[in-house]
Amino acid sequence: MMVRTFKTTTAPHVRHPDDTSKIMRDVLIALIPVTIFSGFIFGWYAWVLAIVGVFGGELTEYIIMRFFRKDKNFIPDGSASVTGLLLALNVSVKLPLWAFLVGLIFALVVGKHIYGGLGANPFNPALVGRVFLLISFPVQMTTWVKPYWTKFWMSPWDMVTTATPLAMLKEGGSSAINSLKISDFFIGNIGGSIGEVSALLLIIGFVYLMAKKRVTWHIPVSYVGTVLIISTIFWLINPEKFGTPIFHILSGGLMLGALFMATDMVTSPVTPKGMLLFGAGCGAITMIIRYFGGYPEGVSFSILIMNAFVPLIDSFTKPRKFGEVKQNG
Amino acid sequence: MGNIIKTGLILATITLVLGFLLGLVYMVVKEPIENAELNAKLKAIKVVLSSPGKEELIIDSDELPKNLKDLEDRIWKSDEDGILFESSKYKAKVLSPAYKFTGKNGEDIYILTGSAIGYGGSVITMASFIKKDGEFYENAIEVLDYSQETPGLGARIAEKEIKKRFFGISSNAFNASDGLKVNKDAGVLPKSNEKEIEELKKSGVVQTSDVMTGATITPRAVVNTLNAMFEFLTQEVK
Amino acid sequence: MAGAFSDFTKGIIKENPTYVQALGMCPTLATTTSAINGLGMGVATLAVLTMSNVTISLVRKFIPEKVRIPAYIVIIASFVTVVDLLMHGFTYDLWKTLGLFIPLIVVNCIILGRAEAFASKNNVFRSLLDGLGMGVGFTLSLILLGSVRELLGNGTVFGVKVWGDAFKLFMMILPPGAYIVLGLLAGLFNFIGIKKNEKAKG
Repeated sequence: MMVRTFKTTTAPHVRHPDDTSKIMRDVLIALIPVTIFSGFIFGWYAWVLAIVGVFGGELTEYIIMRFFRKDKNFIPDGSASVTGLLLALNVSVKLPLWAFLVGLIFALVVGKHIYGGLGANPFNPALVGRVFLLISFPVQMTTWVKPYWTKFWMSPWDMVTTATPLAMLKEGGSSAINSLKISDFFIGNIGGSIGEVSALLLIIGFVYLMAKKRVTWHIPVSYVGTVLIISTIFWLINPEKFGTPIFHILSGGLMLGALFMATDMVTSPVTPKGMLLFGAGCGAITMIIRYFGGYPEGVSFSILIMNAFVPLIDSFTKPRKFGEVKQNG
Repeated sequence: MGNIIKTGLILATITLVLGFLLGLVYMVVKEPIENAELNAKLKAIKVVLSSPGKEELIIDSDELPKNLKDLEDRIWKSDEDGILFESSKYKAKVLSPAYKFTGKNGEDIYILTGSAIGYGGSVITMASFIKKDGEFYENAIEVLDYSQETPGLGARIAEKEIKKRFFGISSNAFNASDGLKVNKDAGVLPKSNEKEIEELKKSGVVQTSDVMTGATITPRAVVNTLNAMFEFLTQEVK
Repeated sequence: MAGAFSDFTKGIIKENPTYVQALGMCPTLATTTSAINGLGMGVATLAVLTMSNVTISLVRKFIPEKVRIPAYIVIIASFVTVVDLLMHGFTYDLWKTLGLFIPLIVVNCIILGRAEAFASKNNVFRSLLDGLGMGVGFTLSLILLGSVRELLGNGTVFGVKVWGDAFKLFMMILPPGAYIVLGLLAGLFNFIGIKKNEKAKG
């Protein structure tokens, strides 16, 4: 067994009122607008998934902590509800509830607690769950319903299915997506995962988190910036095949990924320089997958791949200690 | 110096003895291997000579080859190099030999074997073409070798439900612009009901993206093999 | 005689080639998409391992130290070719599914590893038992891994329907499933090992 030691350093000590559960509470608040809105777009079932995500996540974590890791003093810190809610926002409304629960348990067991729980997991658990669901249930996860405005009493089984804009682009070229307006992406009038529909509400949520100083701008800005640069280059080369830059930024859950998934504190670098590098890597891998990969979208995969590089980035961008002499310099 | 020679001799002896052993085993299993290959081939021929999706044969049952001699009698064209035709357009080959059968109503049925490069290596497909009113109609296919394809993805090509998508393709479909295509290459979104899928097939598009999510390369290889076979047949049979 | 018995049994759990020694990962991960493939691969390896162990033990005194590795490789490669030919002739379908992985048995570290670590130092009888034990351990590991993956991924075990289409995690058939199941099973084996040690200490 590893023995955890806690070393007290010399004064001064900074006291800070924040703890994990307060941070998690703010993340949940930031996701409320988009969650409520998704119910109006995709029907009440989206809310069911979100609620099951929050409470199912906490319950799963409680069972893991009490019965498998035998921690009698476990107090829920809200991180499992964030994972659950993010997972719910990352699936299609066509996903059956039992499959969602399998994904949630997988996310928390394999994505988080196998590595030692919160703070020790190298990969974002919600994304581990999403990728698991995507490869395990390819049909249910990639059947998207056509959004209906303000028809939240409709259940997803009655809804008309549609392809996501990125899938349309991949299979049909630019002409297939000509009918879509930019405003549709912004306010959420497109097919896709529950939480990826409205860029506007995601940005509002993120601004709230920034105001609360829970996150910084570095990762989203470098992520979206990289996508913008790469997609502009490709668009100039062949506009018919590759789609416009603004389309790439607003579709395929890129906003959700850049704002809420890549910025996860545990699985992203700690220094600003590292964050910029991390975001740029995510952006580049996303575009490579979108242009040349088998899947139409690559946000989840790119963030997971970059998660694996975080320790490397951290050691690479470690700030010098005061007075430390640069070696070989 | 003498040591090196001694070491070399020992190694040579081991190699010789084992080489002899291998030769012996090969002589013993040569016949079973040939039989196994033949049986696999006969089974495949039976499948492509059945009407799509049914057990019913499209030729008289006593016409069906049962051993090597029967099969050799049916050879229509063969080539010493093993390749009858190479399509540069579709990057696919028609392999030797090709067989010819006579159907229940006296129509000509051609059975061709072809290969194209899939995800990990050659995908070998056998297909039957019926000649009707001077036009070729593809009846059914059987995928003979897909061992290099990814299990669960490309390797699903051999599943019944998926092979069905390649059954019953008319010459119109082959003559469509640039030949037969999978729907992903043709830029057609997958349709959800059987009737629409059949309509697509008539226009030269085989829908696979719904049943083989994430795998395009393997069905593309099969489609290109079929295209090459059609090219070969229209060229050879007047 | 107790020693001989443990030569055989150590390969099954205590020194299990797959989960404890983590040898021969390539065929383990690649061929266990179903229980029957795992069994086929395991038995093929078992046969090669036993034959090569016996042969190497027989000739161990004649092989000069300097060329022992080439000599072992030649012996192993010959037996792999023998197995490959036999499977081609008598188990055609299995031979087709296992494809490239049969010739690859040559480079399976278990076989060269046992030749070098055991057969080259011990008598024929003990080497035979060691080869059999390790082979059986490897086969059981592959069957276990293949069964779990087939059950979760396809709802069947050895092609027999358990719950069928009702619950299918497609991922388990794919490479990521192989890694995850292998990791979990290796964890389980180590957990059993730790518990046993604790018990032994009292």
